[in-house]
Amino acid sequence: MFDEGEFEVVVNDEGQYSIWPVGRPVPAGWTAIGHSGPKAGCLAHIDAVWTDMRPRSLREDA
Amino acid sequence: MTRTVLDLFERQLRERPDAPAVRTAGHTWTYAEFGAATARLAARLRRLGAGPGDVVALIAPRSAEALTGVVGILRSGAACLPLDPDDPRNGEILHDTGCRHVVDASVLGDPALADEEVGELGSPHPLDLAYAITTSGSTGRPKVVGVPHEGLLNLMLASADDLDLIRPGDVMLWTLAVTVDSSMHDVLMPLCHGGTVAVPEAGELPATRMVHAVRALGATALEIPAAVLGPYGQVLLPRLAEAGVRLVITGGSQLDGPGLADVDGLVVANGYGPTETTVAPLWHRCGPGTPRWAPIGAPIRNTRAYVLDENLDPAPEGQLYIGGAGLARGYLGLPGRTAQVFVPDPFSGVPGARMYATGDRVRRRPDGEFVFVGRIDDQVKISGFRVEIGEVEHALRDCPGVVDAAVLVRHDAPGGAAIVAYLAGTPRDDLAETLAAKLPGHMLPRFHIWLDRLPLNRSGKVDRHALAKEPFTIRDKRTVVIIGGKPKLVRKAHELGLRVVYVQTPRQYDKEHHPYVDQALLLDYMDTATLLPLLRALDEAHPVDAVVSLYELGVQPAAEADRMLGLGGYTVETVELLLDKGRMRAHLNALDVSPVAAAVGENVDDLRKFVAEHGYPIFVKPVCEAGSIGVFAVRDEADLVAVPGRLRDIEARFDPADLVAPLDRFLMEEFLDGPEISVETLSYDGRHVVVGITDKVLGGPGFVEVGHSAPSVHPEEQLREATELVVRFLDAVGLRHGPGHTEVKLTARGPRVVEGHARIGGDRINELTEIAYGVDMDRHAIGARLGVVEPLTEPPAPRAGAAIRFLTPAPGRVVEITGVEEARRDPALVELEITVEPGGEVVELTWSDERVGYVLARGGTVAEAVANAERLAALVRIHTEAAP
Repeated sequence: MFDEGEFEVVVNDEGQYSIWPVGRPVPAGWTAIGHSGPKAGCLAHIDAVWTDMRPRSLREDA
Repeated sequence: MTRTVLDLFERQLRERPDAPAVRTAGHTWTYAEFGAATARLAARLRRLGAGPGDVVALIAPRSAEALTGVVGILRSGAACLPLDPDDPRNGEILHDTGCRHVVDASVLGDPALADEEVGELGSPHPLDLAYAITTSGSTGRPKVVGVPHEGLLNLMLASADDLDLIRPGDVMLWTLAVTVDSSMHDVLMPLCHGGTVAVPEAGELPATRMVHAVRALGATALEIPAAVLGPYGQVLLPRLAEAGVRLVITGGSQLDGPGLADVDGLVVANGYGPTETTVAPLWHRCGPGTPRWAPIGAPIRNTRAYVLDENLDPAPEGQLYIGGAGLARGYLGLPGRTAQVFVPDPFSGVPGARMYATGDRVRRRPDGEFVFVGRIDDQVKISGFRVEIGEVEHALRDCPGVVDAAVLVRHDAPGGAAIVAYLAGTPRDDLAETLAAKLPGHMLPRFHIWLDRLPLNRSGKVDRHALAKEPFTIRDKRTVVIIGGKPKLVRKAHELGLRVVYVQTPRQYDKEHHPYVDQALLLDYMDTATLLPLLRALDEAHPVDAVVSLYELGVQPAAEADRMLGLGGYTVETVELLLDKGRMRAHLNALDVSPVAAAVGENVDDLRKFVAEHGYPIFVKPVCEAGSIGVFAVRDEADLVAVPGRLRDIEARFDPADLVAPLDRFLMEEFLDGPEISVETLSYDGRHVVVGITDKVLGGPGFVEVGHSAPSVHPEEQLREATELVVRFLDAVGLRHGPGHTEVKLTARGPRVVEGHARIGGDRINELTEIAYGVDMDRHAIGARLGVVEPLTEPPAPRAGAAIRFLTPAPGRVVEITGVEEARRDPALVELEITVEPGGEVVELTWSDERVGYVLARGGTVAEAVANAERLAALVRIHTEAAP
């Protein structure tokens, strides 16, 4: 499952990040941000860019 | 409008101010009283700056005060992070989560709280966190799961409206620790729906005290961990029902037990879910059709559950993924770790939805309920607490004296499932104490098992399957069973610090063995039908770690015993293949490893046919023997017709007990011409190390060795080819562990395997190898498997010469033996052995055992050693006279 192979970093409208296997259609509501590679590299990238883990609708309401 | 659980609680405050909200053995608080106390704490926290978006730690044991803490924190609008007062990681957790406010005993017991002015309380957003729960992390750092109000409210509404887990007037006994997320469910559910939380005294609540607590506090519902309910449910449930309990909530691990639906008026509800999906998004209500291994149930409202295979495609069995309202925000401060397990949900109709990979393997039943199959990774739960094995191992490795550590949860531990630590290093008495300062109680191993080193599997990872078989008995010694062989073997095993069980035939056991033997089993060990049950019984009483034989006849019984006890070693298949030389040739020829024309024959016609095809000369040898028994060349018609008679003569001279099999079938092989060497190897899980190469001197009428010397003097290129062949040979026959002795002819067409053995060579080959290469193969053969001898990493360089010459007096009656004293004084002599005495008989040499003695000598080089051996062999003279 989510262990082997190449992944890309994806983000949804709530600003929540995740990873998705390269070559599979990205599920609706998610956008690839243009960073791909082995899992560890993708997760490290997410560590760097996802600085506020609150969903966007909470941030906007607050 | 109901946005959060606080709205549900406020409604109870308005609707039933005089109803009991919280009860202990000594006191009951009405909703009005409890509402006021929690409002004051919330006001204090708000005055100090806490509110929605903040996390406030609650450091308190289970108590009415702690409950005030939980609800007070929630009413401030902040999220509650319950921590165990005894958890040494608290400082680290507070730091990592950026938690600035702590509610502990000093806050909860502060008399000035009574003076707090209650103003407007917090009003959190559904997406604000309600609580945060610490779980252990595989990298050694704790993870904190943040759960939003949205999911908690969804669970509360489902609990009351769909699952019948709470009714107004229910009295719910709070049984779990504050730090477990199920506690949030158990205590908030009554307070949101007009019930009462009954708080027993702090500390453990064993099954024996549960019924007492239920009676004392008038409980109608309570949670019992599945690990308790499974084994004790049948006894406990009728007594709880009698005491007035209508509902038992369970979960935390797989529910496995009988009689869960047998009690009238009492229902067991089995909840399943990781903390990351809000307590329990799946529920199964036990009924008459519930099997012992209870299903984990079906998803609650607004929740999706998928079984997906490794390609994320739906499958009947696979990993369980959960999506929907109950999803946690993630791990606080750990976006990467969050993104790894909260992944895009391609099946949801909601764009941008996430799903959580539970790591649990499940199967979906036709009725839509799910059944837990096992964990996908190493994460485990003990007593309802999640323990990531890696974190315990991490803490253990940090303790003085511990070099390496592995941790397993063993369900076969005495007293039930337990965390078991396997340790390598120097045992220290203060380990448990050191560890307790690093880990909370539920993460401390109950057993410490010290090993010489941790076993590794093929990919170089700790072999957890092997660890799972380690006995719990504390043993300071490893036990080896040695089958057959000479006294030196049991002495060496004893010197390695092993407990030695020696299996020998009664006639070959003597006082030379007994100083080194802890137990002896005297029987015909070739009779495996008798041997194996005895070894099985012995293993049950005193666990055995390895069965070893370095003697031809013991190799197969040892392999069968190893297989029976699951101890590794040679496989029976390899041993049988090496014993049956006809089958071995066919196997090698099929793989094109050392091709040699060969066929099995029984009579003169077979011999003629083979000669017609391959020409003279040919080799004839028994199919199954070693020690050069009955090996001879057939060079012409006269030799050929004599073969059956010669084999019959030889057979007649042997005690059948000394023969592997009758000699009525023989192997015919193409004649291999050229010098013969033997290659000694040690194999470690398929990695072969050549220990030494010995030259053989043949002589006499058959092919009995009259001498050996090491290191080999043949050209390096030829020896390299030969060792490469041996490695291919060992792989071909599947010899992956232990010593190997392979005899090779260096023919004009390249090296050819003559035969191979799953043991060390006879004829003092081990002593020659030890002198020439400095490696005692006996010690390796006995000790490497048990970790008491370090494996060789590369072939040892030769450091001296060694040679053995057998004494070959003329056949006849022994009259006198001379030169012994002089030979013994020679510094080059290593061993001198003579097995005949004056008056004894020297027979014509047919096989190795008929030799009457040998000299073994050393030298700076192999040439010197050979010269010394020949000089000494000539010096020792066994005078015989021909029989009249």
